[in-house]
Amino acid sequence: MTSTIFCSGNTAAALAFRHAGVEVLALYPITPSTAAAEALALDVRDGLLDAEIIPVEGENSAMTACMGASLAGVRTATITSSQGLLYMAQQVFAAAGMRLPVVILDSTRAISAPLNVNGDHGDAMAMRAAGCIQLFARTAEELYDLTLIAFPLAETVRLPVMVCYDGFSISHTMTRVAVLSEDDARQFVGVYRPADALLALDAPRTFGPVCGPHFYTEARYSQRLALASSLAIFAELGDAYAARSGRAIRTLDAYQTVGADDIVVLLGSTAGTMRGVIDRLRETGRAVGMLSLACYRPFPEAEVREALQGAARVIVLDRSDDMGAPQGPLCTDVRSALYALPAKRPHVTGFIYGLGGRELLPDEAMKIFSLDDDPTLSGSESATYLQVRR
Amino acid sequence: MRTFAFRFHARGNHGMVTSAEIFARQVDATGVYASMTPHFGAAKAGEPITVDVRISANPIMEVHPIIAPDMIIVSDQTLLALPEVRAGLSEETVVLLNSRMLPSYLAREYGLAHVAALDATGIALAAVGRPYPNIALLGALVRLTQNGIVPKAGFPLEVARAVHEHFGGGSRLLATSNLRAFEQGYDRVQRSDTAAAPSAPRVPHSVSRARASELSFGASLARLSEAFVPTTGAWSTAQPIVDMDKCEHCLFCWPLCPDKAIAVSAEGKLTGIDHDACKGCGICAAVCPPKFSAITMKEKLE
Repeated sequence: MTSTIFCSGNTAAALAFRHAGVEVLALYPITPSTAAAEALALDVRDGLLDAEIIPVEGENSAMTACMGASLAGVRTATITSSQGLLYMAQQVFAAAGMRLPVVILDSTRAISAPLNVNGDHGDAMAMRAAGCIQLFARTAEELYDLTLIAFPLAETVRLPVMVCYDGFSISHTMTRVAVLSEDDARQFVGVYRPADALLALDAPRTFGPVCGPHFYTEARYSQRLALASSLAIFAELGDAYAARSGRAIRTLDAYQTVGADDIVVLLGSTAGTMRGVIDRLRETGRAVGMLSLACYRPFPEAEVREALQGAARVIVLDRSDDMGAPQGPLCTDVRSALYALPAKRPHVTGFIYGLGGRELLPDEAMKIFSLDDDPTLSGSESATYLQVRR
Repeated sequence: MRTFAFRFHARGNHGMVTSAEIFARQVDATGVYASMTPHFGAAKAGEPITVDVRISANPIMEVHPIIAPDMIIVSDQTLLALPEVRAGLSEETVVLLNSRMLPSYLAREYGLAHVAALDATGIALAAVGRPYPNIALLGALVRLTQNGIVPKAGFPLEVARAVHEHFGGGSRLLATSNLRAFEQGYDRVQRSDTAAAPSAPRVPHSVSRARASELSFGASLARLSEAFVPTTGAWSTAQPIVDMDKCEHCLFCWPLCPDKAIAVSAEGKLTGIDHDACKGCGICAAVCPPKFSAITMKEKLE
């Protein structure tokens, strides 16, 4: 059973934290995620959430505080953006290596310089190798869903989960959001029972020890296996969540892809705008579709390959650049997944768009389905900037 | 109902995000769908901001800025000078303006087809005692949606209740005075309809600015008014005027200007004000020694 509220993504995120019963939050507010941190502070003040908020002096400390709390055996989370996530980076890798189930919300925002507080995926993509499970919400409602799922996912796989939601187009946009009751949500999330806790005095352990060449490779390998195993657990949790909310949560959403000649692949809120574009093109008889990924790390390689294999052309939209690489990060992954096809691989074209809050307009989105009409867009094997004034 | 797109143009601190939020929330409460997206950067008081509100019978999926608004709500008439405010206006668009002028005059003056006007600042000053035009404009907006845009009987009353509730956390006086501003906005808005076709740029991503090939490396700046940085000139309600006969070039103003808007020659002489970079804070006039009084602040005309 769900009830609806009219709220921003930040409010939906804070509500999911409350519904999940987070016990320790280490927060250093940063635009565009600030309102979520504020809402949680009010929840704690008003007795709606029984959590300890640690107001830290920076994001590096936010993550170390989360790691300490997580090691002590409580449900732990933080919220950040952009520079904050980068400042936190060192500890995000460490939390993943120590296999700590910290939930990190990232309201995705461009990285300085030049300084920009608006949305793109530069911050999240800089963390894609950290070893976290990385989820991308398409709407505020899905942000609520994914954040609730993030806790049992993190605690089962024993890895940090980063839930990414677009700055402003999700964080600040108010829409109708259907949420679970707190009891229902709490039942879904379950009680966190850490397998090994620092404060288990009868069986104390050392976490993050020094580890030479004789074990480091094995530690990394087991981390890779854990990350890979999370896809199946995410699918199970998605089904369990659907039973309560009536909303299916899958690793990827294929929209009009069956029999499509051209399929666009993307992450995040642009899926909303793109859906309208697909509908319009379908009305004119164009066989076009869209694949949007809720789970980016681990990359659902087999599912992506299956969804795209029948297409003649795949167009990948990256909302960040992987400087110096042939393509943006998502395009690199998609190409790599398709390379395993034995024959007749779809042709892949990659575009960089939406940087620093430059939201994709429907006309611009239309263009990517008519590549042959525009010499500045067609013919390139490396990433092409879609909206740039050259 | 079809989808309606409302674009709010305001300055930071006018309270227009609050108005847009109350409006969208109450539209959503009628059962149809609404979405509200504020667009602002590192917003400061006086900075032009935009808020998009969409309402529709179906769930709203698109997240891009509104390109062709059915209505724009402008909380400061001087904002109409900005190309992004006029962007996408058509002969169908209704323009709701905070202005003391008659709508027929405003329609002629700005070349607009459908103008609704209201002295929202005047109403706010009288009712609330503060120059926030947001709630009176909300009243006017709700009135303008009564011709079938929000097809729900009793909608104005529900928004009025929401206004009262929103300010109820402050004080009973704040709640009742804002309710009065809302009611007066609803009652006093005047409308003029002609068949003019407004000349409007179709500006997708703000105003056309420098190309990548024209940027200095690292997007570094020599002057704040360089093409790729948003100019602050449109923020100001007053601008400094230098009387060059009185200026003794002491340059007290120069280091204190937060926007590097004081132009100084290589010889160390003040040569003028860069009005594109000035946001009208008045610091220069305040620090100009009284014995010279070379810089005075002049209110911008409506």
